[in-house]
Amino acid sequence: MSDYEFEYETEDEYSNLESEADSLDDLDSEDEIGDVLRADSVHYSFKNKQTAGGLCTHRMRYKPVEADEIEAQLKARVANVDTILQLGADDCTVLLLKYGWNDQKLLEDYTTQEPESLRRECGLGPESRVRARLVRESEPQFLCQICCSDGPLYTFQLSWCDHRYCVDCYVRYIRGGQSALVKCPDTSCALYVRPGELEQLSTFEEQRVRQQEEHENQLRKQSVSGPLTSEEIMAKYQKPLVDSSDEELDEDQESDESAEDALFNFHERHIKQQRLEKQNQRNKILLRRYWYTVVVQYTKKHFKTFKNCPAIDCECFIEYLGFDSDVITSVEEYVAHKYIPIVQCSNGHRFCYACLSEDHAPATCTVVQTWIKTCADETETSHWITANTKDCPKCSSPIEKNGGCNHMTCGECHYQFCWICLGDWSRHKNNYVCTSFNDEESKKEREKQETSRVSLKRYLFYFDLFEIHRVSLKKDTEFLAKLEHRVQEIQQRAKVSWIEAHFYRESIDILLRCRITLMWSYALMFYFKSSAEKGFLERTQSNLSNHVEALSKLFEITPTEKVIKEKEAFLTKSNALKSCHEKCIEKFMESLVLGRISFTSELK
Amino acid sequence: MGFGSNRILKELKQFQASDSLQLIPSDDISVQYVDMKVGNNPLYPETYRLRFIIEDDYPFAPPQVQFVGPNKIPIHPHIYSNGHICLNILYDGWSPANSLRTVSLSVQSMLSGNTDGSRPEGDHQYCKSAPKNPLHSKWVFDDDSI
Repeated sequence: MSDYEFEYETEDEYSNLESEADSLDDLDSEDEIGDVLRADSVHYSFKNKQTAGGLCTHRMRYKPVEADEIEAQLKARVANVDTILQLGADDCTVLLLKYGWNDQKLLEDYTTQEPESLRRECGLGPESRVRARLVRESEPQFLCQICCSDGPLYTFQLSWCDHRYCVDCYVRYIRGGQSALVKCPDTSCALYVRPGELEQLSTFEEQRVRQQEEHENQLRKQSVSGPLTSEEIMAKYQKPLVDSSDEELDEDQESDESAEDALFNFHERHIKQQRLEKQNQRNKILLRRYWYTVVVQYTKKHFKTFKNCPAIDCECFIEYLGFDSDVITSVEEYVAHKYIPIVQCSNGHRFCYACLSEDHAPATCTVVQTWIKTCADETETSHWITANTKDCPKCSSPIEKNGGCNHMTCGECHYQFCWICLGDWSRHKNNYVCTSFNDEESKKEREKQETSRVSLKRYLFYFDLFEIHRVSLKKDTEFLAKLEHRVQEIQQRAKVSWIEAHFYRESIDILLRCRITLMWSYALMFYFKSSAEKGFLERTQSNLSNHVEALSKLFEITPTEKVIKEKEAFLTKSNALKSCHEKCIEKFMESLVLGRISFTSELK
Repeated sequence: MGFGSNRILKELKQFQASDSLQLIPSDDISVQYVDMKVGNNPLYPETYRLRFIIEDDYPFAPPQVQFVGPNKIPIHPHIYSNGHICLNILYDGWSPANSLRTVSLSVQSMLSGNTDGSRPEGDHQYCKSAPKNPLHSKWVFDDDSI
């Protein structure tokens, strides 16, 4: 799938829409999502509305979003409901959470039912107001019912109940909660902790943590100014030594790291770090954690519209925005027509929106699943089986002859046959010397056997090609990840902006992407019946393969100066690869969707 | 035991023994037993023993609670014959405001209100495959009436 121009310019978008507006249907759909289109850049699962061959791609519209954007969306919905109910954002948040964000149902219930009882059912107090000073210092005779510590303590309680607990316990209690909706700890109390109340606890906790850190810092400083212990003196004298060798140490560490997780390139490591930082921030501040939990719960509930990026450490979401089509209305339909909805998250991970596995175009989801299953079943054992066994002529279960005479009895179906000619044993008249090798029937048996072996051979052929590309992909990823720091070096050497050095990174991306496409195209080919169309696709495939090798060769150039000089070559080769890849994907899509190719019986 | 030991000590001190609930002295602070009698329900004439295993994160996570021998395991549609109790406050519905005593009271009231003298459905199956720790079972709370 091509996404070379995922970020469409807004102007382009407009002109596209204008040209689309000829038909009434298009106008309608534009009205529906017009606001979205104008506000943000919409992305597409496929670059063009039509393939070169004139096939409509019915591409899927989507938008990569992050948790805080969804959070803002949800807060806007809360505000929206609040303009009608006038209860304040806190109550509306709880109500919406209770109603699973079904605002229609909530508004209906709120107007038809007794508000008092509805509020009680939803764990809200008699008033909407959030009281001030929910965190305060207790009197000395106070006893926290959770940790049994005596006062004076800082305590927290909700606005409309008087179940006070110490701040430590309350914080820990809320952190332990799995859902965003957390009740007052008291078992007889039905009130929920509202965001406005949580904010007070969160702010207090944050301040306290900060004070504690400052205090610790001060303590450390004080201890430095005091008389030194012998250990500290040792440490002081050893320090300059460490400093001088610092650079070497750093380098060592770096190489260690890259050895450790060679598959992680710069980019991925950066993402991991980002996630850890975000997680840290969230865990520190209760209110943020609250909203993040709300978002996660929301996206899980609305899993048809929101998909979490399946890459490890990636927290991005993809928001589904419908299809650029009059015919196709759901992902299921799209997939059933043998299209492949490949999307790309904000961190650049490409995956299939339907089956949530990594980019597998041009193979369809069904092919991928069947292929993976076949590989798991067969690869390890199939080699051995071909070499050492024959199949029972009746039930085809593989049989190993580990000694004994030629009179075989199949363990599965108890059919008796001769190991040499594979014919029925009864025709051997208990003669242990096989004489009927040229017998018609046993010939047939052997031919049948031959065809089943051929199918296995065919599988192994495609499997090897698939494996070759899978391994190349892995090696390339490792190799290129190590070269990534060169992108920065090029930038510095050539004294240019990062845009100028961007060609290197882009070439890497397109190369890896094409390797993935090649890899899956071989898996796909295995399930095609041989035909003229298949031959045609094979030529497209080998064309792509040639382009891949051509660009791949350029990466063998290592001296930075040379790389900069070869920039033109990089650009031409990767552009050629890009358009070749695009064409290749389109050709496969046409063959699949238009049913020009038929599948073998291996694909159920 | 870290944080919870202060709390558990206080709880033990304050456990008001009554005729129907008796705390059995124990050497190990993290394992406690409570003997329970159920008045005026002919289904439960005997004394039953509840065992509490208190883990490190108590009271923020529930203790392991179950009936144990040598006494009999009371017959109840929510109590399996291996002693595991299906009661939501012991699992998902746990709150740190619960204590050994409130849990015992809840179990006791569950017994005293019961009129159905049968084991849960699939009791045999459950006991065959159940983990030792009832907290590791997946509980579905479908029936609040009993």
